[in-house]
Amino acid sequence: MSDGLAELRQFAASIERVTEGAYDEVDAVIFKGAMNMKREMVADIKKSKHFVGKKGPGFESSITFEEHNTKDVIRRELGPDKSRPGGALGNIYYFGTSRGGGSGDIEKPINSEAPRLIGAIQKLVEKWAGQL
Amino acid sequence: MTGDALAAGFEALITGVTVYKDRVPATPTFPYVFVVTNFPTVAERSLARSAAARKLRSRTQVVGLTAASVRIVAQKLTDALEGNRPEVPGWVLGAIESVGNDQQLLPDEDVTINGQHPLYQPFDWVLTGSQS
Repeated sequence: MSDGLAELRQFAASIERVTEGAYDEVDAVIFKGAMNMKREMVADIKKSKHFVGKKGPGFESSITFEEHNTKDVIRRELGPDKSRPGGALGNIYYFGTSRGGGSGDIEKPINSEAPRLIGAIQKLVEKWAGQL
Repeated sequence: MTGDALAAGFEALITGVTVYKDRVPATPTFPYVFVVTNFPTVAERSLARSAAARKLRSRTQVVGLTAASVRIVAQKLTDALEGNRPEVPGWVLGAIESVGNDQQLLPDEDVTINGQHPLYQPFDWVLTGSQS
């Protein structure tokens, strides 16, 4: 008759195997989400009559994202980079000036992406559960 | 019970400061608050897909000739809106909440008044409610 120790060891090994790759798998999902949001932000700016670059890369080319991962947190920061051409227009495009404006919708890309991102994370969790 | 009545009820709470709606006149009186309020969009649906809750978004630009005047008006605006509930017939409303936008108090370099640029800071607000 088993004392359960062998099963417990096997379960612990399964958890270790799953958690070993989990960080990279979640990171890949977040990376893809950030890339999709960046593409949507660029596409939105390209629809703007006033903010798109007329003779070459303009404000739309300033949209970038940076990785701010730590041991416990997976994070991307996305938006206009002020050091790039047109990047200083970001606050005017999204938040306007003293006389109004601010036609860009900064929340639209995350609202579009959130359901896809949550779905992808749910699939990962289901996969991990199946490996235990 | 219209979305317009809701927006008007929201904007009516902003008192004690100069308020411009929809557009800023060519020679505004400083300091002022410029407010643009959206039509409420559906925030939540019932299982039958009818609109269960709607969200009203509003952006206010607080504009002054000095940083101190912007901060003083911003305080008045916050006192008028944050946590308050407008009373609008036909609506059951929650409390107004500010939404962080990480925007700094900046000079508007496109406008010059007596040789100086006015300063402004945008504030975003949301109000969630349902039609009764």
